[in-house]
Order: sequence, then C-alpha cells, then structure tokens
Amino acid sequence: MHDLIERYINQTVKKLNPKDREEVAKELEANILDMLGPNEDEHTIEQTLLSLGSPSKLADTYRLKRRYLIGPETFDFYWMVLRIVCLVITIVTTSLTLLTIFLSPQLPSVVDIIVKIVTTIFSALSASFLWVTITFALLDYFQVKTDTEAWDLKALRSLEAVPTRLIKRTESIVDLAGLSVFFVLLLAFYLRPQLLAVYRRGWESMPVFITGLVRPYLIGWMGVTLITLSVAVIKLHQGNWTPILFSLSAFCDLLGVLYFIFLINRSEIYNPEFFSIFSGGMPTWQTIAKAASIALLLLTLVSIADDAYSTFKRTRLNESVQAPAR
Amino acid sequence: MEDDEILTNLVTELKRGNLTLSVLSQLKTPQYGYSLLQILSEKQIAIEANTLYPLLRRLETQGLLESTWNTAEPRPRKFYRLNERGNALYEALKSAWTEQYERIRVLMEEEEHA
Repeated sequence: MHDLIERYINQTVKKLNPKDREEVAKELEANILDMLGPNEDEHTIEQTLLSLGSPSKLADTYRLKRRYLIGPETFDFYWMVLRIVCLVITIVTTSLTLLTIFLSPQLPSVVDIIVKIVTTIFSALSASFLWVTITFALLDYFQVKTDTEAWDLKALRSLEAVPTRLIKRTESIVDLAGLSVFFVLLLAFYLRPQLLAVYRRGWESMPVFITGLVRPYLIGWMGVTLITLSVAVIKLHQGNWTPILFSLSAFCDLLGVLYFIFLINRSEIYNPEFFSIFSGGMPTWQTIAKAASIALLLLTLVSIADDAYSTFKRTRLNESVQAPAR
Repeated sequence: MEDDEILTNLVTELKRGNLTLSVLSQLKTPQYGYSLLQILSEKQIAIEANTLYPLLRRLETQGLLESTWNTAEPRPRKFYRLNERGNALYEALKSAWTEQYERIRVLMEEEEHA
C-alpha cells in the first residue's frame, strides 16, 4: 500500500473506538483502492485522499454520536451555574480575605492587600471553574438529565402575564454569598474556637465559650446553614415562589433563628469569665440575649410574612388573564 | 448569512434522511462501498464517499445491515446487504417517505393553483 494512504488511514482510525479500528482500516483501504482504480500515481492518490476530507472529520462521521464535553442541551444551565458560582466565590473569598487581613496583628500595605485579594480570587475562581466544568462534563458523560422542569397543563396555567412571584436573582445570590461566608466562619470557629473572643485594647482576648462545649453546637449550626444554603440554591434555580418552596424557605428561616436563640441561651457553654465584662454579670447578658432573640424572631417573621405575601396574595394561579398589561 | 449559504444548509438538511433511504433501497443485493457509490452516482443521487462509507458502517452497527468479506478476488471487499430487520425498517421508512412526499406535493400544487 502507498505510504500516504497508510498514513491517512492510521490517522483516521486513531480517533475511533479501539474495537472498530482494525475493521474500519481494512474497509477504508479497500474503498480507497477501489476509488483509485488502475491509476495508482501520486497525483490521483493525493486527489482521492483530499476528496475524503480531513482524517478527524472522517472519523467524526464514523462515530454514531457526536461527542461533547458539555452538550448543547446542558450548556445554558452550565453557563448559568458557572456565573453564579464565580460571583458567589468572588464575594466569599474577598470578604474572608479582608477579614483575615484586618484580624491579623499587623496591617499590611494597600498594595499587599490588593495582591493578596487578586491572587486568592484568581485561585478560587480557577478551582470553581474546574470543578463546575468537571461536574457538568460527568453529568453529560453519564447522560444525567438536568432539565427537570415539568411541562404540563398545570405548569402552562401557572405562567404569569406579569411575573409578580419572581424571586429576584440578585437577592438569591446575596443570600448564597452571605450563607457561604457564614458557613466558612462557623467552620473557622469550629477549628479554632478561641477566635470567638472578646478583644479589648490592652487586654488579652477572652474566649466567649468553653471550647469543648461549644463545638457540637457549631456542628449543628453548620448543618442548619447547609440546609438553608441548599434551599437558597433551589430558590435561585426555580426563580419564582411556589407554595412548596415558600414552606421550605420559611422552615429554614425559622430553623436558623430558633437554633440561634437556643444556642445563645445555653448558659452552661459560656466561659464564666465572659460575664464579668457586664456590670450586672450573667443576668445582664441574659437580658441582652433575650432581647436579641425576640428582635431576631420578629424580623424573621416579618420576612416570612413578606415571602408569604409574594407567594399567595399577589397573583393566584389562573389569574394571569386579569393581570394588568405592562 | 448569505442566501446561498442558507439554501445549502437547508438542502443538506433535506438530503440527510433521503440519503439513508437511497442507500437502504440499493442493498437488497449485496454491494461494497465503491460499487454503491457508483450505482448512486449513475442514478443522480449525489453522495460523497466520506458520507457513504461511515453511513454503511453506522447502519451495520445499528443492526440493519449484515456484512461479509469477499476474499475470493485479489482485492478483499466488504459487502453489505439488508438483513431481515433492516428490510422491515426500510419498508416502513419507504412508506413514511412516500406518504410525506405525497402530502407535500399536494401542498405545493395547491399553492401553485391558488
């Protein structure tokens, strides 16, 4: 066989499934020789091979399915997730980097701060890009369906003329970023509980809690935060309020605030010395804690009521016809 | 996009299914890649070698064609023909195509006489 033909065939089958290579090579050779006919001169060979197109394109036609790292069906969703993850990661890393810088005993120069922030963000973004892409590539490889939106009569009827039940995307992203920062802080406090301390000029920092006792509570709190985070992701993905989503969100809000109230009122986990900073000692702290609990609970209830209003009052299902035109 | 380019794309889309049907129609008797290429080109069905050879292979992988290597001649060739399943599928595809062609023809005639 002519050397050029052999190279062309090898280059083509190299890109195919190993079990197909030998068969395709043999057949392609027979076909090419048939196409040449009796004229096996250099020029005819070149023209024939040129007419067959590039080896990679030919190999592509041999494959039953087109191959993608991330297919066209998933790409829009991938793009959305990637942008959100990058935004959240940027906010989280910036705030945490700033926090660690300001907590460090010596404040670095502005240039150092900028360099530190830029490099941390860059490495965090590269890692998020990598992981989001790997996750989606795997989903694509195993053909997991990401489009889970139901399309039936109920979904059709719930399309709104004026989308009043929309969950603002910026709000969800701020939620996500805030919760992520909070989670990392909890993790930091879990690893080094002595950071949770009262810092006073001229005094040694005084831990607020007894290390061994506060840790289990921090784990619980991280769990609660993770649940809330997942609901925030669902809110972002779904984009509008539904009764189920509202219940989930209200449940998480209440769970978070009740956990906080529960934790702040556990007097046994505090470092006894901590109370000495209040003139009235422990009872003063208890009053503060109670006041904070009530205020927080009230705020949460107001926020839940607002969400409930968005979900149930503004537009009911099937009322879209009567909604005012924009 | 230029009109020519749009037309080329539309014609390519139109041809895609038709080519499979044309190929299947010629495989009641065994054919090898190049002989099929020649038959089709004699019958004015434009198909490139780099489309036909992979198509044969794909149809075989899908279980519609059976193949045998003829080694009796100095040059071995791979012959394809419709198997039972391929034949049934070809008949079904043929009637689907005829039905569709007929409907479109009526549409276009109506439009011409309007």
